[in-house]
Amino acid sequence: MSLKLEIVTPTGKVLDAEVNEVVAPGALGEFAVMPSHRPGIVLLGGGAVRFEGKTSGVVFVRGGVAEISADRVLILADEAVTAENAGTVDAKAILDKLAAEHAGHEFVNDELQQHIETERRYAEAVLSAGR
Amino acid sequence: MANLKAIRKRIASVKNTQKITKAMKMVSSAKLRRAQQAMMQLRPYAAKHRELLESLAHQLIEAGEVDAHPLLTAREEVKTVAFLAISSDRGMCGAFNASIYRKLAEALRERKAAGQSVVLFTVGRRMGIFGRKQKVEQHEDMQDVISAATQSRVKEITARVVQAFLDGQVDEVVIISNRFKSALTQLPTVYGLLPVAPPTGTESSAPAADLFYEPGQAALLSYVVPRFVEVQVRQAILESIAGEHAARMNAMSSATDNASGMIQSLTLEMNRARQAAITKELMEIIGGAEAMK
Repeated sequence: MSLKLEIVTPTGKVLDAEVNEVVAPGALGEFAVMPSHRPGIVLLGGGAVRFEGKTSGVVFVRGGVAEISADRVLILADEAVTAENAGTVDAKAILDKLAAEHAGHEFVNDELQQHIETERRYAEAVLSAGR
Repeated sequence: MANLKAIRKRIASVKNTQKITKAMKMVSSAKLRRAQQAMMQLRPYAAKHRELLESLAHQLIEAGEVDAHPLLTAREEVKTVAFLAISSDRGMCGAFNASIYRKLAEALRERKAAGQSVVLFTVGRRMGIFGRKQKVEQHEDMQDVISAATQSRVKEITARVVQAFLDGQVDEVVIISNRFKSALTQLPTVYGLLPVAPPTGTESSAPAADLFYEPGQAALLSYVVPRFVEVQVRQAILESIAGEHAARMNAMSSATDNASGMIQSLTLEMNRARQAAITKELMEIIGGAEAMK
């Protein structure tokens, strides 16, 4: 038995693959999904979605939600980019913008902190792929 | 009988116009294809968000949390209503913009009759010009949207409108735009954006009860609701752009046809005039010869 992994963004489908395991960056921490997982909905942060199976690879997501069912993982991402195209994202600009806007601030609320974390992790993951 | 030279000039000018309309038609059909693609790409994302919102809102309302999210809460009294009206940047697209103007004017009349004040947000250069002529309490023109409908620009617009709603500046937000039904029909439509009315699905769409939610339903809802609003705005703009190109393509197609018809009838007229001139000349020659006898 395998899982169908789909990653959808507002500008189209980024990935559609048959996999055996997915590791995704949840808002509360990384989690893994294997076939016959209990169905649920998980809020995602930023970072790398890794998958293994017939096709293996990495896709970077910039926040979103994942809908998990026994034979399918559907990720609705605000933005997503495959490892091959990671070079097209200006991750440095994202980090610079974060540094400029939130430098020295104590975190004001959970939502903002969540947003900053998501952006930072996304940018760092993309950067590390480029190296 | 019109003179020959004038008709020839006329034909040449109509032919030139036809060349332009033909070129515009081809440009529009290429742009339409791209716009339609952008529209289609958003659809699966939009549909899934709708579904998510439906199931989350359904459960929270079942659980008695009616005011689960500020964007979902309807105001008791609507004093100020905001319209987000979307048109094209350019003309030459048939009745595309006129039909939106009419819808907006109608809606404005209705709201004013109900004693509500109106804030107008306009997208598209044409709508900006139309909006300036309306007597409304406040008019904000969002520029450079149609020419570059990027994700970040749409985000800014949505943020502006949502902020106005959350600040209590407006109590309701309504979108007025052309919906893309097909390449032949664009439907001017008025529909509510805020407060978000959770799409009411049938009972069968209610999710299985044993779903788990992480970090929790409320946290997920506060992610999904703003996204849903943004997707709706984005969809409206993309559909309007696709509709604009479709409308222009149709308008230019019939303009080209009309030009063909005109050239045909002008050619006929020209031939008649030429024939008449020849006949007249012949008569004169014959008359002259007759007199010599």
